[in-house]
This record gives sequence, structure tokens and C-alpha cells, in this order.
Amino acid sequence: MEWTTILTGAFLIQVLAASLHLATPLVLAALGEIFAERAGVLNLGIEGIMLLSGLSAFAIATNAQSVWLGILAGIATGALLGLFFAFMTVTRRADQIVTGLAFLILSSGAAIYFYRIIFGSRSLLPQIEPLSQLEIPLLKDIPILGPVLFNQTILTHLMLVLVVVCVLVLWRTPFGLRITAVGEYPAAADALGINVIAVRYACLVIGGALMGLAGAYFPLAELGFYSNSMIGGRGFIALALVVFGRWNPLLALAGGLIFGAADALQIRLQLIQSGIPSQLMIALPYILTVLVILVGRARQSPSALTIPYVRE
Amino acid sequence: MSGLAWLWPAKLRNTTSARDTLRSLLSLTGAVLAALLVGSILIALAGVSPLKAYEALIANSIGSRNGWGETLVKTVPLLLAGLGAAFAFRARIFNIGIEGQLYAGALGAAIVGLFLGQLPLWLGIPLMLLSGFVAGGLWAGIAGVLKVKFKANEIIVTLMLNYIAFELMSYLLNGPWRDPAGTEAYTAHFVDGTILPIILSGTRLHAGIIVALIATAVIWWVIRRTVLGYQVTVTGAGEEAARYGGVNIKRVLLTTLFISGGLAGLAGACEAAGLQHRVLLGISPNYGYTAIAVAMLGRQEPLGVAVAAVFFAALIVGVSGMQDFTGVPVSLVFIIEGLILIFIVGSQARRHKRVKAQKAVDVDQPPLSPAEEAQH
Repeated sequence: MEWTTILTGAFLIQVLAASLHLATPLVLAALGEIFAERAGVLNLGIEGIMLLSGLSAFAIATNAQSVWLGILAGIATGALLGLFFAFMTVTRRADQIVTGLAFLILSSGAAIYFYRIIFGSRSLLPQIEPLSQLEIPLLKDIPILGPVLFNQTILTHLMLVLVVVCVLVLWRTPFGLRITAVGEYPAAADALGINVIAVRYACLVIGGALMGLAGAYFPLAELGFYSNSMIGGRGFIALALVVFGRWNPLLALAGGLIFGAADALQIRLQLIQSGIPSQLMIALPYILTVLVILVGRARQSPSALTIPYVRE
Repeated sequence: MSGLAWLWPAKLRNTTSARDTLRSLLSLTGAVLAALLVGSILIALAGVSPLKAYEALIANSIGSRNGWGETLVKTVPLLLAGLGAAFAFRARIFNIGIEGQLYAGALGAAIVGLFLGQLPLWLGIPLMLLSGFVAGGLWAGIAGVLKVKFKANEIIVTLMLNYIAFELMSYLLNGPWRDPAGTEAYTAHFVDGTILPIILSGTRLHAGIIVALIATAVIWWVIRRTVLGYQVTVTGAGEEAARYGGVNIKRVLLTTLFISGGLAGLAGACEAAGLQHRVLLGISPNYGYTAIAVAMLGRQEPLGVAVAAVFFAALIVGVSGMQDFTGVPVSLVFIIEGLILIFIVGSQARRHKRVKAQKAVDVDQPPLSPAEEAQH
């Protein structure tokens, strides 16, 4: 294979655009997890929440013939599942890790089950026209930046806006400071009159909504159909991004872009038959996740992470 | 610190008291019944009578000789993998990578089954099992080394290793290890000397069930009668305290993950050498994830895990039969598994809360003032 024929400008622009596109759901889910973890709750249910939200988004979108209603349904489903996770781990004080694993197993079964009930076993795969790219006139003609930034679905732009919003909320609002207090030292936060339980509930519901949006992205903005394996561990990759990004949305975005690039490169190298086994290519994002975890290890997680709050 | 040395054995005795066992048995039964109840609502949603469906479930799993045979066939991987999950959970290591370690074990068994030529049974089977155990153990060991050396979170690492193991297996079965005469991605037939023989005529039940029962006894012995087993349990009760108590945490973590992965590897080896007689991509319909539910329902006790493995095996066999008769999707099994976990973890939580809160104060937070101390 001739590398010179691949590493052209047009190819690089394609990869960059695809990186941003593929990074979008990872970063959205990571934002959701950042809310949960900064408040002291490890939401391991992330993968399952994304899968079920993706299913509900797709089901509503195909029934109502509206991608936007589908996206709303995905967000709502994610928020509801976040609420349920909060009930289990904050009110019932159930072990967060085991609850997360239960979510994973339950949702993988429920997604297949409900898909069969909703769509039956048709031979024809139900499909929907996915969200189209938003070509912004003039801006899209800027060299390099144009095709990369301004030829994306609006969800990618929404993701970039949400990263900034999350940074502002977490570090520049009283609510954000309360979240940090609750995640670092809930007893002190409680003594100051902060409602620890309410803050954790709020963070899990907001986080769930963001994970739901991420889940809806797969069938409605990327694939145009639903598949049980569409999330394929990406919830857990988002979890790794949170560690890598040290609970900071901006760093999680940077990590997401690295993953998007690896994924984009991998998909393209498979297409041009580079001689590298395709299995190694598919495994690349997962190998990268392990490496990313090693980089992120140094920083401390929120002190109260995984510890249920009991008022003494 | 001498206080701790006194405390831990007392705590261990407590967990095995008859009253405690009875109470947890009741709550586990309750969790199972509640999950089956919710399951019946879902069955009704699919337009099928729940009573008829559960009737089909029982008839297919434990209602006949063949049903029992199939149930025990599925018990083999679930018991071995469940023991693997349980052993790690005892040390509070969340090994979610059982599925990948199971693949690794099947591939390890294949090295003996495919490449060492003809072997006599007395040599072939132990060698095949050993190779499967070591392969699974080493695959889990990657997560162990990364955890010990780099403090890498084992949940994410073991889970990623599942995907990587699948791709590795797919590469081997599509490439160098592919059966030249085969039409799909699978290896050639294992040599006769490594095949686990059928032990119940007229069924598919193979000697893997004996391997699984021996493993159950050995793990019981390790947990109850050896220093390692004691250290695993103490580490699970609290890493910091175990360290003060003189436990070499790193060694315990590595050994625990190796044994845990090794048991999962045995599950893969038995599936390959006992049931399929080769390695194929669909070697495990998510046994590695069901193993988590098996371990939790069995309360991480080998005997409990054995009972839970038979229960889940019957559930899988029964629901597959139920699908044939009533059209209820077989994924109902995972829903019931997940619900059982939810009900278990939801009902146990309140009992443990005081211990947890105490741990939080001891380990992660500044010491309390004397006034606060008095409140405890």
C-alpha cells in the first residue's frame, strides 16, 4: 500500500470531519457522566442508558416520522433512567457499581425484547432518514475549517455549545459549586444547608438526559436504523474519557476528539485494504481506551465518589 | 491496630451465622420472585399468557431427562464463570471481563486441542484444561498488572479487554486458525484425546460438569481453609484495613484476578472441548455477563454460586423453549437477570449502610472531632 496516496489533504480533512462527527456522542455521554461523578455518584449504567434511549428515540422517530421528536424521546428516556438510578443509589443507597452492572444486563435484554415487541420480526429493517448535515453557507467554504466544522449535523454544534455551558455551570454558578461540595465533602455541604440528596438527584437526571441524547445520536444522526450493538462499549469509553479528562468537560472534549480520530482512521483504513487485519482496526478504540486510562490515573477522583450519603 | 486483628475474624464469623444465612436466603428468594413477577408483566406485554409461558419454561428446563441434561450443560460454563466472578468480587475487584477471559480460555484449550498432535485422554484433558486456565488467567492478569502498576480502574480495563479478546479470536478464527475445510469462522475439530466425554447418554451432558464441581470444591477450600482465601475476604472488607493488617494487597489482587480469569478460562475450555469440540465465534452467548448475576445471587459463596448457576441455566434453557412455543423473545433472560440484581442490591443496601458510612469516615475523610466521635 502506498501511504502517499492516502495522506493527501482531502483525506486528512475527511478524517478530521469524521473525528468530530464520531466524537459527538462520546463527548455528550462523558458530559453526563461528569455531572454524576462530580456529585459523587459513579453512573456505571451509562452504556445501558444510552442503548435504551437510542431504542426509544428510534421507535418514536419512526412512529411519529420526526427525528426531532425522537431526539426528545431519547433525552426523556435518559433522564427517567437517571432518575431511577438516583432512586437506587441515592435513596436506597444501593452499591453504585452493582446497580450499574444490573443496568447493563437489564438494558441489553430489554432493548432486544422491546425492539421485538415494537417492530416485530420483520424481514425488512425499519429505517429512517438520519439527521442531515447542516451546511452553513459561506462558513462551509472556509478552507479546512469549513468542511470540518460547518458540515456537521446540528447535534455536533449542540455538543460544542454544551461543553462550554457545562464548564460555565460547573465553575461559574452556585449550582456548580454545590455539586463540587457534594462530591468532595457531602457532610460539610450538608452542614452548610446544601441538600445533598437533591443535588445528586439533579445531577443524575441531567446526566441521564445527556446520555440519552448521546444514545439517540447513533440511530438518528449516524446510522438511520437501530442495532443492538450500536453502542458497542462506547458508554464505557465515555467513562474512560471522564477519567482521562480529569472530570473537566474541555479535556473530555479533547479526549473525545482523539477517539473520534482513531475511529475515523480505522474505518477508512479498512476501506482501502491497508493489509492491516481489520480486527486490529476494530479493536483500536478499545486498546486506546486502556492506554487512556493509564494516562488519567494520576489525578484524584471526587472524594465522595461511590459513597452513599448518610446523615450522621 | 490490634483492635482490627480482633475485629476481622469476628466479622467473618458473623457472615456465616445461621440466622444471617436464613435471612439472606429469604431476601434472595424474594428478589427472584419479584423479578419473575415483573417478567410476567413483560410476557403479557408480548401478548402471551404468563402462566402458559412459565409452564413452558419449567417443562422445557427441568420437566424431562433431556431438559435436565441441557440445564446441566449450561450449568458448566455458568458455574465456572460464576465462580470466577465471585472470587474476584470477594476481594471487591469488579472483574467484568469474564466474557473475554472465557474466549481466551477457549483459545488456550485450542492450542492443546489443535497443535500438539494426538494425545492420550489422561494427558490430553488435563493439559487442555490447564492451558485454558492459564490463558484465561493471563488475560485477566493484564488488568491485574495495570491495576497494581498504574492504578488503572479494573472495571473499564476488563470490559475493554472483552472487546479486544473478541477481535483477537475473530482474527485467529478467520485467519491462521481457521478450519481449512470449514464454511464459517471456526477452528478444526479438536483431537480426540482432548475431548471431554459425554457422561449422560442420550443428552449432551459432558464431563465438564465434573470439572465445574471439582472447581467449586477447590474454591470453597481456598476461601475457607487457606491464608489466600482469608486475605481475599479481608481485602474485600476494606483495602486500607487489610494493608494495616499486614496483607500484601498487590500480591492478593494479582493472584485473585489470575484465579478469577483462570476459572473463566476453564469455562471457555469446557465449552470448546466438551460441547462444540472446536472454537467458534459464538462460543459464549454472554455467559460472562450472566456470570455476574450468578455470583451476586450466590452471594459470592461457592455453594450459593452452584445453586445460582443451576437456576440461571434452567432459566436460559426454559426461556429458549418458551420462545419456540410462545414466541416470547429469549432476551427475557437478561431482563430477569438484571431485575434480580436490582432487587438484590436494592434490598441489601440498607443493612450495609452503617458499615459503609463508617468506612468513608475512616479512610477518605479527615478525622472527626471528639464531639462527633461520641455520636458514633
